[in-house]
Amino acid sequence: MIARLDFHLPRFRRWLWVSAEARAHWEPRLASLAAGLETLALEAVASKAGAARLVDPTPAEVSALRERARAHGLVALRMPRREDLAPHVQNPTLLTRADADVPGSWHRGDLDAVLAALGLPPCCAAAWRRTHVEARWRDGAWGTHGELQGEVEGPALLNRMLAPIGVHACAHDPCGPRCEASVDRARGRLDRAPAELAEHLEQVLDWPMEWNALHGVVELRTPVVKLSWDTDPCASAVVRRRPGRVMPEHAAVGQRFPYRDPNHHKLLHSVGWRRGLAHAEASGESP
Amino acid sequence: MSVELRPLGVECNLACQYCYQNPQRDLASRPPPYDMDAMLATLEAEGQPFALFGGEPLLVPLPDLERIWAYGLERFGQNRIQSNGALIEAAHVEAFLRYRVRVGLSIDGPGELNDARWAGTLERTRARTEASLTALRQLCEAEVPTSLILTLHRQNASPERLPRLLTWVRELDAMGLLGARLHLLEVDDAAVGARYALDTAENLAALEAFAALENELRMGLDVFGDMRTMLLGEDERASCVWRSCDPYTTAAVRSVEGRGELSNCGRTNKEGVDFGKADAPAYLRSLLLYQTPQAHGGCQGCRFFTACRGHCPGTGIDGDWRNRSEHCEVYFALFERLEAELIAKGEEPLSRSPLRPAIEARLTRAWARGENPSLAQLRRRLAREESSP
Ligand SMILES: C[S@@+](CC[C@H](N)C(=O)[O-])C[C@H]1O[C@@H](n2cnc3c(N)ncnc32)[C@H](O)[C@@H]1O
Ligand code: SF4
Repeated sequence: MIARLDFHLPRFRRWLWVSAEARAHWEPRLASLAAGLETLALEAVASKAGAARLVDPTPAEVSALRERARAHGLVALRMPRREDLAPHVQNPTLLTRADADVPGSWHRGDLDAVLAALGLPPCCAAAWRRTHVEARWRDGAWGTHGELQGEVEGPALLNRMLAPIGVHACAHDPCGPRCEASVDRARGRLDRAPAELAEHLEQVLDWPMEWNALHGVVELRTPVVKLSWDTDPCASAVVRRRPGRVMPEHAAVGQRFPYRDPNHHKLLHSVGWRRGLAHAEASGESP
Repeated sequence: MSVELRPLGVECNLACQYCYQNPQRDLASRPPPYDMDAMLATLEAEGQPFALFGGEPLLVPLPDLERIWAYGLERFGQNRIQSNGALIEAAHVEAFLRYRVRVGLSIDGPGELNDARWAGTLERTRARTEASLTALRQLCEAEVPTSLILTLHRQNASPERLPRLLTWVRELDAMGLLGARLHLLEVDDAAVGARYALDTAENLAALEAFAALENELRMGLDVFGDMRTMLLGEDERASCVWRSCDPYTTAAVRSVEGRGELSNCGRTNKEGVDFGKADAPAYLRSLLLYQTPQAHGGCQGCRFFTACRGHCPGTGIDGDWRNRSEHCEVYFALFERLEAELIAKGEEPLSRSPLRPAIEARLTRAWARGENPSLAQLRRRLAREESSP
């Protein structure tokens, strides 16, 4: 059982680039990927009666969010917080068409209708209820992977490790890393996306990466950037890895996963180094 | 804040077995040639006195060192260098005097006490130790202001070896050394930890022995100075390790590298990757340690928290900054001892002050906003509020 701690850190996102070159190359690319995906999501809502997106803006983000919604013919409706629907969402805001009835479902407390409008298949809607409403996890990553530690299997399309920066093919937290209904939805989304964006996204989701949570902080390591954000605090480290098949340009060489393997260890595997360790062992503690 | 200049990055003539830079050094290719103009331009932009650092800064040829020191002398009226000392020659000593360079040497003791500062073979190690010791003597004789960093481990401070170490420090005092700073060993590698780390009782015994020695010596022995000031809430000059260092920005250390670029303090670098600094500081570590139970690697409920804050993130348990320092037990015992001393002298340490809850509440609120006020500031504010009706 994952032991949870009963506090919450303020919301934050931090970026630590492995090099200036990696930053110059990837920062604009990841930003444009996230922006492209957001546009795609808003277009999808605009094109389908009854569809909606649920977001959780900080106060500073609200006016830009309204602007973006308006640009797609949508409204951004601030909803009351509801413990029975989405207790993990601080400032629930629905992006939807003005004629949609999802706000009504929200007010009635009809979780199934709300989640259907958000595009969740029934299996993932049930997982939402278990994860957020019953078990009170804030971060959906805890629902998808449960107690899992170590290697995450399942298609890269369902990789949501980068979701906090807006990079994901699957718009919701799937009920598990192999959920077929979610794969179908993610595939459908990519099919609607411009080819270049889809290809780029598939590559990024297939980078090797490690999700590592402890005491309320996730450190998400990729070969080019280490990201960090708040999550539900757990008492000991929970580490999940996607081996990935695509090593990005400007990947750093490092001592551990997911960085590039060094061609050789100049120091720590050398004869001289081992001689030093052996000497320390042999010399004991004679005065 | 200190600015460190590292023309050759982590390049070194030694391979100290415990060096926290080893994960980087192990992966580093030869450093590219440094760009003197770019380094000086960054130093100028930083606008603060700086210390030459490394790796080993004396691998830089003397004429280039002189150019750096000429700039430092003209701009800041002083220079500093942190070195293992094995490469110091007569010409360096002259240059130290000419350019007013204060020298910090790292030596863990004479002969085999310094074997952890390894050079590949025992012969070479001992020869370099001798060279460092000779340099130390020459510096003292020439009256170059010189101080020492001494890292405590099994090779120099085990119960069997500690008496020799203390004798040596007395000799250095007689020679005119200015001061010494003691480091507890930061363990980044299990094999190194198993061979070199002292246990809590041994670390404590060594520190206590040094504390007793402090009274006998002319030189300053920086064992407890910072801990005392932190306990009294007079923290404006205390070092980074006590003041909520953010491992993503390491505000106290700005390293200027060979091409003029800035990097973080190496103590938090466990991956061998030279991350750039994050764009803005955050005090999440202090905030989470304050709320995480001690049984799970946090500091919840500790009365010394405002003074300690889990210590340096580079020494987090399991090499993880989200845990408190692996040396917690040692610091806790020392804080207890200092607390008792202060109370005996009629002082009121924060750990026993009725102000503690208010200070903790303000600190945590400030950290949540992304600020890190000093204890002195908070105490002044609280005093003002109390005195105003
Ligand atoms: C990394 S060295 C660089 C400067 C120079 N080469 C020297 O030896 O002083 C800076 C200081 O960090 C200390 N140090 C390195 N690794 C350490 C560790 N694992 N624990 C404690 N101190 C350490 C060294 O002993 C030295 O005093
Ligand atoms: S990581 Fe440790 S040594 Fe480095 S600046 Fe921070 S507290 Fe100081």
